Amino acid sequence: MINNYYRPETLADALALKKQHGDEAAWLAGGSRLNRGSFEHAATTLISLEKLGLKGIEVKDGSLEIGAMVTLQQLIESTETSEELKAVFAQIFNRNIRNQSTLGGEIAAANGRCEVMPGLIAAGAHVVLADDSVFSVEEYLQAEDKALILKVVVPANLKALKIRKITNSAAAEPILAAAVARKADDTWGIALSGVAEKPVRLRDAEALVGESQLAEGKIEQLQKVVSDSIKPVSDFRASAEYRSSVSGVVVVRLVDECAPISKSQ
Amino acid sequence: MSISFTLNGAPRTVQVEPGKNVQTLLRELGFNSVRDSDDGWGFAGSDTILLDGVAVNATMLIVGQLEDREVVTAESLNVYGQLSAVQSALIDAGAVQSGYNDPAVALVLTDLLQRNPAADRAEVTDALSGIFLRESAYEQVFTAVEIAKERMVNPEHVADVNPEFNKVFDRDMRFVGKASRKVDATRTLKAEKAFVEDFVPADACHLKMLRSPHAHAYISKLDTSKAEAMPGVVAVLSYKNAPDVYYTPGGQTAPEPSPLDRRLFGQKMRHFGDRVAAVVAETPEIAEAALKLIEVEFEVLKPILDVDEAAAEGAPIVHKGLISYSAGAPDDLDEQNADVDPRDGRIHFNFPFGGEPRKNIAAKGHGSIGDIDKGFAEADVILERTYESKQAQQCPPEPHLCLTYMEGDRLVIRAATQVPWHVRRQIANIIGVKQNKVHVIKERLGGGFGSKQDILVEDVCSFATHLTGRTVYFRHTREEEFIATSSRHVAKMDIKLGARKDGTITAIEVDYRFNTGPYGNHALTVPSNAPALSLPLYRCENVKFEITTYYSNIVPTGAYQGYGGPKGNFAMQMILAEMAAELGIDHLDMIQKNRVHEGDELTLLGKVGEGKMPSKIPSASSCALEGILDRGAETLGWGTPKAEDPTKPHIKIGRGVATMKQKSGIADIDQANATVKLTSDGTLICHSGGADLGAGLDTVVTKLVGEVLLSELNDIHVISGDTDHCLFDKGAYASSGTCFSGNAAKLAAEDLRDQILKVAAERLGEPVEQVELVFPATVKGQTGTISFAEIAHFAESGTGCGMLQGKGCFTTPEFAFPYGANFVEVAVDTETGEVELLKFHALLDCGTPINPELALGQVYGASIRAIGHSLSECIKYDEEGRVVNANFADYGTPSLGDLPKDFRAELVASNDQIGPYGGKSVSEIGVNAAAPAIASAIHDACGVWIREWNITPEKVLRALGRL
Repeated sequence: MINNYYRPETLADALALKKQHGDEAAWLAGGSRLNRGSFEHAATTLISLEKLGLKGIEVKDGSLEIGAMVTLQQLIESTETSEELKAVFAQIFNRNIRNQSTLGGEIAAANGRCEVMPGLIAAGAHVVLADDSVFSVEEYLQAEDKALILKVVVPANLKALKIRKITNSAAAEPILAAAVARKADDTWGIALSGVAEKPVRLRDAEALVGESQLAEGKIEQLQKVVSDSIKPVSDFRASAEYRSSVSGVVVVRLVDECAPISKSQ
Repeated sequence: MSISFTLNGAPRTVQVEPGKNVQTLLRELGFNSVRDSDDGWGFAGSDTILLDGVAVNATMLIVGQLEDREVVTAESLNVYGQLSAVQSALIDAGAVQSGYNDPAVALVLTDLLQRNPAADRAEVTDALSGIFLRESAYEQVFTAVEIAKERMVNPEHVADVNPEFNKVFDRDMRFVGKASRKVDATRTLKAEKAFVEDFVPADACHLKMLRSPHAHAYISKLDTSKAEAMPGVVAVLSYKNAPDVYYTPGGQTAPEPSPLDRRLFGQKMRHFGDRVAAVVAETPEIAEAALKLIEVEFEVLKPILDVDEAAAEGAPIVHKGLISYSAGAPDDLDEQNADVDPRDGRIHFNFPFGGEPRKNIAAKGHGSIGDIDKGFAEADVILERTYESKQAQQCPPEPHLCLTYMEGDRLVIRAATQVPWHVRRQIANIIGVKQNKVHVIKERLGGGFGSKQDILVEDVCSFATHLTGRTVYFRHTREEEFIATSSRHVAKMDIKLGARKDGTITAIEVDYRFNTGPYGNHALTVPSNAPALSLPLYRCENVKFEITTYYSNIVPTGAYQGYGGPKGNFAMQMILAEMAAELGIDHLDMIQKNRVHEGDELTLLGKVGEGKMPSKIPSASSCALEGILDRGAETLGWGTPKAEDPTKPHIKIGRGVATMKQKSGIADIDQANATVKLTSDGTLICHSGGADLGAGLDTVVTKLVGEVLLSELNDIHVISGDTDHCLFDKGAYASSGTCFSGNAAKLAAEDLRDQILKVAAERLGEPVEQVELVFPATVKGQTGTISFAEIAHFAESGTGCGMLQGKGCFTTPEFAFPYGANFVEVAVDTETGEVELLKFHALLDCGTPINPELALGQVYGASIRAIGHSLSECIKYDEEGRVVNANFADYGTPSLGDLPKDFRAELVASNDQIGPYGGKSVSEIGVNAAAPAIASAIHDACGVWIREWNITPEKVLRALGRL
């Protein structure tokens, strides 16, 4: 039951309202997560972010800066967004949802199966919070007490960003989703969702791939590193064994798409 | 709180709680188009609105979010007396079936084409990606878009929909076999009041159900006093005050061939989600709150989840109630009743059909022809395999719902049912009144697919109204749809096939074990249709089968399109494919060598009844399988090189095929009636007992009446499915609509035609043999003509013969079998197990399609539902028998993103003698072949047989030995 609904026009007012209502209040962005399933959440006060601005999309200092209230569909339609990043946001099949879902809200929801998060983590995206702190998306997802997201910053000078998800049907949450980014400095970002409570970054795999151009002989090693880096659980979508096995396959393919694996050895 | 926004161009201010659901608000404001299929989970898009110009789901918004914003609903497209370019295009393309979600489609497409008049297929797909079309599977929407594009430029543009059918099915008929607008499409597309939910008055009470958290348990304590004392609560229903009447939820002809094992409320919980108690209250919020005040404790029992557990020695018994029979009680009945537990209630059999409740057996059956031992002795190769199916849900976009109220001493039931007359009979029995005190009004259905053949909400809703005198509305949530309605039976089938080296089948033996779940609705008839709808597809002189249906504690099963067909056909087609591979014979050649031919006597079907054996041996009186298989091989490119990419060696391409059959109603059991009356101006009103569940039966009836009486379709009005105003019809199931309800209407029209000719002949002063009907609505003699209007005027005059009305009753000892095949090409990723449908071609012989464009929609829809149960759809349980994926997305319902890349439906002609103008059924058959066609294509691709559907990526990878 929502007893209070606020639409503050300044960030200061918004933060004051949150302080006033404490845990009984929730931030309301697009509402695609918060309102889902007939509003089955505990909040009795909602603080809308609608009037706070937070809707800009601009390239700044080699990065794409995205206001937290920008929807996934707006990002897909923006001329500022790269094609590879558009593909990340289009991972959510349903356009109605993409029209409602904001990037800030999607990150704040911290859904472990979210199709979008691996792309953001692999790309090295970070969030700027209302308390002026800055966290990588990965760190933010793992954190417990989190301030309001104002902005999401995605490096725009990636050499490549490739994504893949495996799902039982188009509109279902995926069994797993993966993303691999090759960055401007030839370091790598590799991330998965669906294999843990929260989306995860695979640093060991990144290091292995970053050592040198991946050769065919290292494929099995990479697959093993990927499998060893995750601890998936079984659910009705698939077994942990399946997730573990296929994660490696998918990551290798994405690495190959970013920088073709050498077939010479 | 005051919220101001713009609604369809007009400013609007509402005083509401800011957290109120926007869909609820818009419905209360009278905007029927904003429907709800998924309780705010964002899957179905029934609730699509435009918010500041973009499509979103209203159920996922709170009213506070509307402040200062612009809302547009599908009603914005409506102009009285006219259709917009998109609306008319959707109807002309045959894309509108139930019409439940189609206003949302029209809204989204209109928005898209206004932004981008040249939108391509990918853009249309993206725009519609949030809308669920379970019935028609989208394909014809793409045709509609092309028509709409033309009409936006030229409003007079005439759609040339499927012109090839006008050639193929041209049998010198005016309406039959020709495209025409679905008679109810405008009403539903414009979101006029059409569905049960549109008629709920503001003062209706709401019924909410407390459901069992356990799959198998006794209620050991139930205290409803606090709920009863809550202000606004009208009644609390439970086993303590429910009628002590046992019935089957299955809406079947009486005496039902199903155990009467269900009471409104019982003390025994037999499945997760079984009824504990219901609250009837003045608002849904009060009802929900009162449910939480009910104190209940359980004695939890071990659940049975599959047939092996059910059959095991010492298994828990699902039904330990007192067993009784109307006739034919077994000699050991007293022995069976020795261990009755009164908490289990009772279980009654109208007649014996093999039920042994103490062995968890709900029904048994068997049949054979020839000499099975001799058949296997003649075989060069014998294969024995086990195939399994999993539990699929019908997923109609409109959930089960019901509105009941009293009119004097009569109970009125506004229902979304496929079986109005069975509802009337059953409800009268349950609440203890005579049938003339019950009036069932079937409203438009937002999808049924068999699930609305069962009486799952009408019973408790009717009882609540009869008990309290109040108007009561009961609507399932989507979760309740998954855990408390009748889904597809689960089957485990051991099949043995013998064949000679040349591929000739010599013997087939099958042991079918079906899992009916907690109650035995359709426990005999669904399994009986497994052999009936599969084995006669192939010629074999030596056949034997046994059927055993077990009770268990999975969520309920019942009728789902295809009935026993998809399961039985999976076993038959798969073992044939495996035998072809074993013998080194091309799969299609193997089918051709053994398949049924037109005119074949189907001896085995003389041994399979649905509670009653056929009075004569059926035959394949019409069968276009030859043309179907030739055409399918051509369109798929059977035998041509596969386009495998050498740079992707892990992607393997394979092709598969499977045939299928169905029937068109049940001979000697089903009956349909209709009347057609001549109104004062010569127009016609048909009262059809048939229950149009969205598939177009009312349009079939309209066209048949028009064809007989040579009248404009606009001059024919059909009233159907109303038990007060129409004559008995057994209902819309067993693929009977066109053949039975259609033939009844045709007979009624012919009866009226004879009366018209007689009166006309008298008025013209000519012998009746000398006069004939001519279009439109005129009788022509040698001396002159007389219009229907003139005839009606005379008939109703003080010296006339009385109002003219024709009556038709259709029964038959004959069967009309439709045939078909699915041809499939898949790409299997051998490293992930993913299966991509590159091609899915569904070819069908439905005789003469009365509505060809609607028939195609039936085929597309059935195909995608079958693709669903083959690949992604499955109700999943935890170890305690609780359903863990009771929503559309988690369950795996296919949406637009799951369509095959090349998806085709084609009709192949045959001329049947039973159905009206050669028409046979079309909707159900289409679900029967997808699973074996896909599974055999997977084998062709990568060499593994997946013998269990649904076929997940994980199952494929396990079969490949990679896990």
